[in-house]
Amino acid sequence: MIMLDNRKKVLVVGASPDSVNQNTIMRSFVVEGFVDLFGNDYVEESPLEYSYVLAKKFEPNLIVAFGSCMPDECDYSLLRKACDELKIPLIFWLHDDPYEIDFNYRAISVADYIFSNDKWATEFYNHPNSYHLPMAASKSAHFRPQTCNTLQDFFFCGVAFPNRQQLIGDIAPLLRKYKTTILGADWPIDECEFTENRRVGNSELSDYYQNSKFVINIGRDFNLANDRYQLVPSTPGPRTFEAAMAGAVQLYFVESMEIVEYFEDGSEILLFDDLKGLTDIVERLAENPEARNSIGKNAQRRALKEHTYYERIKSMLEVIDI
Amino acid sequence: MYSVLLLDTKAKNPNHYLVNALMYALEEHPEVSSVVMTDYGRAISDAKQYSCNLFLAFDGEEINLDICQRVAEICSRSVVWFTEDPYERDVNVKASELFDLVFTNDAGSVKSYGAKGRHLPLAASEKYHFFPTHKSDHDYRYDLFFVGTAWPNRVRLINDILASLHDIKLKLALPSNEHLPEFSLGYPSSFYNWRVPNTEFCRLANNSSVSLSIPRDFSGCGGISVAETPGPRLFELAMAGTFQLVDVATLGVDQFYVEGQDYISFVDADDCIDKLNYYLNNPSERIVIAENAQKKTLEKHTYINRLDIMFGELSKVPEYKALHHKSVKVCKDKVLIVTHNVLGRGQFGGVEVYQDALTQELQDKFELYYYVPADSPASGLSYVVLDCDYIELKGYSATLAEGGSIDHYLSSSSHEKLFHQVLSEYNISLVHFQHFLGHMPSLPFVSKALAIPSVFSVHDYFPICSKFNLLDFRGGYCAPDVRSEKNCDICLREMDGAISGSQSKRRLFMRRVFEQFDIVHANSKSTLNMVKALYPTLKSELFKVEGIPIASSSVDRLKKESRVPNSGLNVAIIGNFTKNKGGDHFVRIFDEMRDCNISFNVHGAVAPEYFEVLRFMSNVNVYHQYTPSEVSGILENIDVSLHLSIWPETYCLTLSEVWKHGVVPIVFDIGALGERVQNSVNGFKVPFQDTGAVVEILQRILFESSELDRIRLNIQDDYYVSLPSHKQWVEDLYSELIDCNSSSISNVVTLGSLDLDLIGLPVNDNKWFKLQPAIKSTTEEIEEVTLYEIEEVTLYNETSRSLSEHLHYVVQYIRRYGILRASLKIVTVSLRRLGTFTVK
Repeated sequence: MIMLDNRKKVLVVGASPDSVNQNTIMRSFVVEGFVDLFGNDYVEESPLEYSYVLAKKFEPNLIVAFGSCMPDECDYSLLRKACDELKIPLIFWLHDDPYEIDFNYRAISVADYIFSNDKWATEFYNHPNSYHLPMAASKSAHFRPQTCNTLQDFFFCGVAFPNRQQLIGDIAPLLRKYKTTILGADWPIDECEFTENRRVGNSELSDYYQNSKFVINIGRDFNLANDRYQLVPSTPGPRTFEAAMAGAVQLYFVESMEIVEYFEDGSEILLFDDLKGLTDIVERLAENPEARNSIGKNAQRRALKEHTYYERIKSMLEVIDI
Repeated sequence: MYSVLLLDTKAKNPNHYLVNALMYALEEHPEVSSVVMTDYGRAISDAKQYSCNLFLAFDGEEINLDICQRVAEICSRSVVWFTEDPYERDVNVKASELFDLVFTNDAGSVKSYGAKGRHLPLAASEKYHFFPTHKSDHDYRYDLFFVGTAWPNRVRLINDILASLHDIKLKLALPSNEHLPEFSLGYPSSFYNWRVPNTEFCRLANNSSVSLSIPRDFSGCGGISVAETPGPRLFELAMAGTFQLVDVATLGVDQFYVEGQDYISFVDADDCIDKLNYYLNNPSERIVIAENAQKKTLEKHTYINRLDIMFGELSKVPEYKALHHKSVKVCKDKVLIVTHNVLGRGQFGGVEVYQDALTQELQDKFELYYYVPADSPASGLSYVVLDCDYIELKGYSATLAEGGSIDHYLSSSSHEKLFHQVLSEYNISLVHFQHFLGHMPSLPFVSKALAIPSVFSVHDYFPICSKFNLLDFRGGYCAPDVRSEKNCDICLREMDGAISGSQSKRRLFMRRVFEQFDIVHANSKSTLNMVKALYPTLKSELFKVEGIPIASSSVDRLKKESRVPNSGLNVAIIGNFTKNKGGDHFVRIFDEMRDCNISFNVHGAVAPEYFEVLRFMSNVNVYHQYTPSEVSGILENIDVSLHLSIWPETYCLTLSEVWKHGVVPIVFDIGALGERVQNSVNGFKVPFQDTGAVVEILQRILFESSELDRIRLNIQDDYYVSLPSHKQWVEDLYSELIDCNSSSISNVVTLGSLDLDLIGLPVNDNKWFKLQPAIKSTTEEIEEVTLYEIEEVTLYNETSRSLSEHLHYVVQYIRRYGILRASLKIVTVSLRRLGTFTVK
């Protein structure tokens, strides 16, 4: 936590109304990061709908709108008005780039600073103060102590977007040799015996990460509003950091090498490019718990040191003029 | 020095990173003082705001010639850099006419552009593509790298390599599309069917010992020209510090790199495999070649290098464009009036009369056109442009993508493009939106993108609610400025079955519409206050308050003689006799004062529900709908007028009329009526809907005339607006806006097609209105009863309905229209059934 006279009051608001946002838990991680930095009394959180009233009452030094600009219900006019009246910066930290980037004109028109979860997408903001700021992990929510008890060999959880279905299908011969659990939504259960359409809460997910020998990391290739530039993401998503915080040994298919900026290949994360490469890794480590634990521990250490929301917020504040 | 406006002509461009790379180069170039990257939504306004003297259009595909022409007229020089030649050459040649110089990526296409054509290949960006070369062979993760669309020639080569080299560490991305034949590489497709961001493409290449450069082979495609210059990948891979094996089918490489020094070529699969093997086993030789290529690229093949060439050529082109747009205006500026209706077409009211009067006055200085729905009620499918004499000049068609009523829409690509077409076809200098009924609310985004100034006159509350008189499901004024917006959800659900949140969605969009106008003209302060209450974030500078004039240009007030006490009172109700205008209150007053020496004179169209009751009132005279020229005759013998609207009028022209004719008004204290009338000074003002107070006043002045005479003498000319002064106000407003903003073009080259998507402001949902899912009533088994249905089910259509159904509809009717109207309806039906009279 920083010195008292350097502390700033921060209001964290949802970038889309809570009435249409089903993912408010990530906002709580951002709040946690600010609380770790400035203390409880200096941080407030609000849905977008009530942000103007709370801003006028709380009088923060900055407002951070976190989330997505995609819903048509996103109206930032009052938020901008609050910032103009209080003479404070309005910051957006968007977490769904590039999948929803076509709607980010809504933030661009009002923001003083924009932070995007994706490095490549950041290049496409026509805004003088746009920066890259990846997602992260929450120590309180995602940290799990290492354990020797594994309940499955392979684990993946997520919506069965076509690219994920394709990859899981292609490595299924390998997965079948081991105890594999695939959870989430829209999985064609007739095709793979180890898939189950069951959604998992954020906390329970970390338990699965903790209890798996290997966690498969497959990004998402599914866009809701990415027609303008058809961008491909470069930065790994939040699950990469959350799984690392839980001490998982992640198997990461390389579609971008940006991952090496966050975790070291071989010692903190395991990169693969094809089925042979994946098989080599698995055969080497499946029955080597010490090696796996070392990788998991390294990843966790790196996540604690560099990939918490606390660290991200420190990076944000280095850039903002307040 | 150049102040550059950079535009990607392809609004949806997966290669937009090239524009970004060019942008960075422009920012660093010593001959550039400033650079603005823009899009079709802002290009014209950016060109003006930043005083750009060089317009640089990049790519060429899907170019919007209308916008580009307007921008070219502003900037003293304009160039285009085509990047898709020779494939798009035919289209590009047509587009090139707009520009001073044409740069093409393809050497073989230069001559197609005549004297303007210059060759300018694409390049690499140090920011995006540079990665330090590796010193040790052990630092490479991959042996061989290729990323590119799965053209058959590429697939064949890759398959040949895979068949020959089994242990090679290959990093491959061969995404396909629906135009290409299916293929297989003999291993799972998820490992090669993926896409990569451009910078990561270079980082992966940098981590590869060898990168393949294989062009697209169009030989099976019939008639497609072959590019004579390599594309950007060659330069990007060189900048990435990877060793390149280049297919000899790639033309023109030797113009940029030296074989053997900067790259190695191969002629076929066997040659490629041999050289691959060789260089994988000779890393030091390979790394030197990679370093050479990178060094040469940094020195000669960056976008800064390309800009050196461009600016060198540009310096030879005189700034003759600077003369063009300073030419003297020889014709009148053209104004388009967007409105719901015009005088003489079906039912019309004060707005149409005002429009007509204003248009006639402005003709000497402006050329005016109307843009109106062709049908009534407006279907949203057809529009016409009329001249100021209402002669139809042209008809247009539009489509509603999701069907239904246009009133439920916020945006429509078809309507936006149509509006763009009209603005360009008529070379409009200014748009005056008088009303949006029947039009798409999104039209102002189009005029804004074209930097055509616009004015919006708020004649009612359509921007606040689709129920533009602000009368809710109970039939009363809903006061949205002081009550919760949640009441709107309740009201719209009751009235139309709309889903919760509909009003909020509509207003959110309408606020953005407001932000597109240059001026919002409110007829009165009360109107302004209402708009600002609902849209508090709109800037005050946006608004101007100015009353509207009555049609007659004369401002001389008629003098009336003093009334003789007890001599009877002549009271006028002029304008449409409807519920909105206070019909129910009038009827109560007539009834209450039936035995008084007062003659009530109704001049105007009477709503059907009042026909019968007025017939039975002996103190009421009902006259026909009047024309503006008849007003003086109507008011000649009138002492008092009643203005009892149950919604906040935005101005009330009839109030001005009665003042001008020396008639004393009695008004409800709401809206502009309450604002304009000062009680006992220039009229009488009673609390809103206090019908009894009106009766009291009439009784008082019936028997005592001095107060009436005193008030009549107080009426001054500045209580209402004269046509000449309003005309001057509008003229000045138009002139000021046109002089500051106009981007009209001297010769329209072609018509573009702007919509919200192209402007860069997409929405998820074109409609604000969605129907609440149907709810079954368990007691009455009536499904999805909306008030539209209730309107249609008349109380006398009884043969097919049960008593409980009738009662249900009666209750709904009363809730919708009030007890008075329901009673009238019941009386009418009953009498009809008894056969005592027929309805005319």
